[in-house]
Amino acid sequence: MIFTLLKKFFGIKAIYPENTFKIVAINGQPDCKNLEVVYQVSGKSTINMDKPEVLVNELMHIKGFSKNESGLIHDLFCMEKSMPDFRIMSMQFEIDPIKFEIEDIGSSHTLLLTAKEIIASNKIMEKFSPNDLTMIYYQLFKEDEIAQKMMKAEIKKLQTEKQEGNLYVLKNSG
Amino acid sequence: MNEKIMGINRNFSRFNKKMAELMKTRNMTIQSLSKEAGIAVGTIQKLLTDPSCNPTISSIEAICNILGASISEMIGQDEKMNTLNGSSVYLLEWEELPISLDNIHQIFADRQRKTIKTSFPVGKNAFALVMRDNSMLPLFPEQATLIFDPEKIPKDNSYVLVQTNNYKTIMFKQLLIDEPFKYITSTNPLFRDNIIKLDGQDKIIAVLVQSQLNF
Repeated sequence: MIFTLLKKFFGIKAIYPENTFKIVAINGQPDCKNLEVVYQVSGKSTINMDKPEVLVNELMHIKGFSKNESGLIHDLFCMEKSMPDFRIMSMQFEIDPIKFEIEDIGSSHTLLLTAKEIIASNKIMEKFSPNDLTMIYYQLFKEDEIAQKMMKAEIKKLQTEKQEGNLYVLKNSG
Repeated sequence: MNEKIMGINRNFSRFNKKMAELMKTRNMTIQSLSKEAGIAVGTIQKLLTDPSCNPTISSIEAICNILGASISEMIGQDEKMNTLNGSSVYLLEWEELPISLDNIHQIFADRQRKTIKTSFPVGKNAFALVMRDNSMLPLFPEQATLIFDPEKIPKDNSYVLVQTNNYKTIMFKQLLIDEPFKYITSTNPLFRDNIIKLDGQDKIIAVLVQSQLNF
């Protein structure tokens, strides 16, 4: 009793000896960020479910698995962590400039952003897969190309107007 | 009969009408719809005839899936809701092309089709195709779902479906307009050499309005 109270007071967690738990199943997919490890207390019918992230963060907990299984949990955690947080769901071509419909994989929330808006924030950019980033950059360069073309045409038009104006002055000056 | 549930205006008399209309275009009987949707014949009869009936969401969903319409289309939500929810379009096969506005409804109705939900509203004649090659990378990978609208007017840099007279095939390409000339090209640099100049006999069938990446 006193020992339990002391443990609570000092925030000491139980240290589970190796092989206390064993993995029963792994649910979900790493790219959907919904992996869950289903594990059982050895010799008991108690089954629990946790995300690999939770198990890795609770060091006391992960030590309760066998070496192979704790390695597997680490791998699952790294795999899930390395997956992109955002993905492109669709592109809207009716809107000018094109908008990307982006899904936050963790929360399933979607938002609409242009290529320029995405590139403006490093924090958002980091969360995409290389394939999605290629699409975003491609679109950005295309939009820039069009903008440059329009700007050149406008400059040309201005120059022509200026030349025509000069000619008019010349013609009417004498 | 209009009823306001969860802030959405639902018009059940519209539901009856729309359901009957779609069943007619698909040549479906009450029995066949009941079998495919897994709903009792009596329930479907009631849905068709009784404007005061209050169907469950699961029944509406099953019927919408079979009839190829979105729930918002069936229950007649207001315009604001429609713009948020998008709509559904029919998925066509490349072999079924070319299509024109005259025969599009006949093609849509000729057999049971898969529908694709769009996150944004599209025209009523819009249809979907699945990208079949890598010629339009990086924006359009193989197996991406492309949604086209035949009523949209193509602009410079639009992505279009073109029926060319010389090649006798339907192509999905990017349109480049350099007045008075029109060209189509692929976005993938490996296919880029093949720029095709369009002549008077070539026809732009539809303009891309949305592309969805499949997961």
